[in-house]
Amino acid sequence: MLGFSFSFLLAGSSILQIFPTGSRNFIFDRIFFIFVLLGTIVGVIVIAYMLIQAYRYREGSATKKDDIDRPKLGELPPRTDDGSKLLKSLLLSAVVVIALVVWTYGSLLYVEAQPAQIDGALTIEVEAYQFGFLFTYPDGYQSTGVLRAPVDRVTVLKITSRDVLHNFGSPDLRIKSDAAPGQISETWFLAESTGTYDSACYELCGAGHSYMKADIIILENSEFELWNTTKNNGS
Amino acid sequence: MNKIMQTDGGHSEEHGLPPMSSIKRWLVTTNHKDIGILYIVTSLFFLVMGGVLALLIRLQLWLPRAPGEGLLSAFAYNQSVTAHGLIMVFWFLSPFAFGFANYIVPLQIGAKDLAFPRLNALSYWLYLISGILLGISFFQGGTFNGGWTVYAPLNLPAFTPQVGATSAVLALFIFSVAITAGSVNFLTTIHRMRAKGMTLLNMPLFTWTILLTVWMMLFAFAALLAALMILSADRILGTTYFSSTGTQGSLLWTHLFWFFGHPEVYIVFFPALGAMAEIFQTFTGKRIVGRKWFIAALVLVTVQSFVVWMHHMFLTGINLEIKTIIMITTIGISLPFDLMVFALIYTLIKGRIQFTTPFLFAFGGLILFIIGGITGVFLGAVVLDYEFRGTYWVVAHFHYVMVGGVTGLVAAIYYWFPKITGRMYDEFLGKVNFVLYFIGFNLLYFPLFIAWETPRRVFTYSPSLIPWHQMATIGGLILAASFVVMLYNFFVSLSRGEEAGPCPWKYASTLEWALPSPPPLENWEGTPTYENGKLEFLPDNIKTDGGESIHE
Repeated sequence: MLGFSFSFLLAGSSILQIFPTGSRNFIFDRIFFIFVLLGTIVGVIVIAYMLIQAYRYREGSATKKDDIDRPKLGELPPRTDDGSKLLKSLLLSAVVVIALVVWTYGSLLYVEAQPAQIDGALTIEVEAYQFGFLFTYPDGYQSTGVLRAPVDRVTVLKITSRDVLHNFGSPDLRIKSDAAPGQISETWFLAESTGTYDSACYELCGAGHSYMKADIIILENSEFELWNTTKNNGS
Repeated sequence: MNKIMQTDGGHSEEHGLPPMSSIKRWLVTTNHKDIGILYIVTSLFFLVMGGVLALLIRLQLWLPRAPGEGLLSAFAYNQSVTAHGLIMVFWFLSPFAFGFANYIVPLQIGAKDLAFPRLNALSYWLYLISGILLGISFFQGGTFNGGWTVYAPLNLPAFTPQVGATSAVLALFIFSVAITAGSVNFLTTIHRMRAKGMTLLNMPLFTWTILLTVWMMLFAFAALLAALMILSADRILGTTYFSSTGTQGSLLWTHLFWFFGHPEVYIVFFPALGAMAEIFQTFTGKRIVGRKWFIAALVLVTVQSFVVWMHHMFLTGINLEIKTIIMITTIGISLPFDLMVFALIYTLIKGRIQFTTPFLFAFGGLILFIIGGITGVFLGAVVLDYEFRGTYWVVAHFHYVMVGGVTGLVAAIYYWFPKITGRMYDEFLGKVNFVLYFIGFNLLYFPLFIAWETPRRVFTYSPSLIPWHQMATIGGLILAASFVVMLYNFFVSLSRGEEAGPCPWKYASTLEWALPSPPPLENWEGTPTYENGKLEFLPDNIKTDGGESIHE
């Protein structure tokens, strides 16, 4: 019953243009920006409204005549139905929230489907351990502490753990995935410029957690190929 | 009402219990009001303990640190973040709320005590013992240091071999037993011992939130208790349920923990919400708008709270179909909260709002909860959640929600202080308290949204974020100072406050305000009833048929 397919959503790329797609950074930045913008607007309106009403109806501002039935000690709550305004407000907020989340759902499908769709993606296995990361390249070459990958090419990470639950994440590349023992989780990134990026463990894993880091070095394609072919020769 | 108190004269009215000034009274009591006070006082001690740990964390974060730098070692830091979380969530928030539940709920529904007073006392003493055990665990080679989520397999002796870590697990275990006994007690009381005419729908909103809280506790803590039993076996008997060699141990723990852990969020927040609703009603002089809908929303959240737990695991190997379903339930559970927020806001309209200290805290708490709610929607969008996971965005968001809840409970302690002590608190100090609290709170937690890229439970961070973290640390100190003002206010007012009288509030409507402050040991003589649509006290001897001695 859960095995329904999402492929229809991915079929037409024209539909996809509504949702942010591209590098993980672009997707995150675009969606985050819209959320911050709308969140700020909604927050300011609601809180300002609260403050205005609270000030307006403070005790002693007796400009209007008071014909309201006030709560009395020992009463039972009267059975009145004054919920229509409430339900209208609820409907409004529901539309905003649901629209926002549905909008991001397209990007989620894109993020989840991307690695499978790419031919020629570089696949690197990541094994987390107390307290570091071991990277294994397709030819079996291994390194700790530094991950090298080419620019403008999708890199798929298959992440697991040797001991406890870790989490491999790079804020610069907007990727993150749990590293659980006995289980492989997958994520991917597409670096748009060369340079050295940070990555770290994002799940408390023991005394060395604060220092469990690795560098991700993004190289030009030609540099990467050069490194890739010579990496097994030297030390 | 005064007749109630005079019939029996001084001593026999205490039923042989020593007076309140004697220590023995507090050791032997089974009275719900006494135990309520014990809960409140004990939980405030744990607030101080958790608060000191929080300040240690904040001082460590004053600057990004290299290993060994700063106040705390890496090991001490991990212990601090873990124990801070455990103490605040388990040993402070819920027991603080249940101090009020113990004291107020039987009064609100017209019950003389909880259904099982001795079980109630047992719950309290188990709670205290578990808390003391947690305190001791610091001195047994270090307490548990794997985060308040106690994730497997880090929770196994292979990775956390300290005796103190085992003590902390046992402390949690005992605490869960205390909670389970307490929830059975409250369920029986609220469902079986209401006054005539006090139907479920007529119950005050605070009692409603406590009822739903204990229903959630019954199921959520069952999962935690099961998980802790297996974990204790792993740690003490040498079983290997969560062992890293069995591959799915870590996933099993994560599911069990969050099946408990997400309802737990509402378990700690609901009582605050109920108190805020009552305080809004009393100090706006307006009945809650859409009360029926408010209750429906509470019930909906209670049920839904058990089908959202996997949103804590969006990155923990669950497939896209499940992620989609959990995303939908998660967004779904935010909507009833929207409704409740609107209900509180619309209650202001046409009110005659008195800006007393309890109202200021309730009003401020609502603002904080709104900010916490909006920033929570960010986390509901799975693509954003992927990046926020393990960062200070999560930390800032849930502190706005949870400490927003604390704000509601501070409102509650000011609101019921006159009822419990018979004295008024100092209004000026109360307002000073609120101003310090609100400034300190926002200075502490808002910068954490801006510095959200800081990884959680780590004391190294990008130097560009130093100003925000220093701002937060200063805010933390101000927030701590506000609690000093609160405790000083209560301490002074206990002896010097004005006599409060039965009801110091103009528009209070619930039963507890019809009683003397503090209410006598047996709450009232006769039988409270709402049979005729409003509160009345029927004399006891109306239905006497010689059955006097049945109960003792």
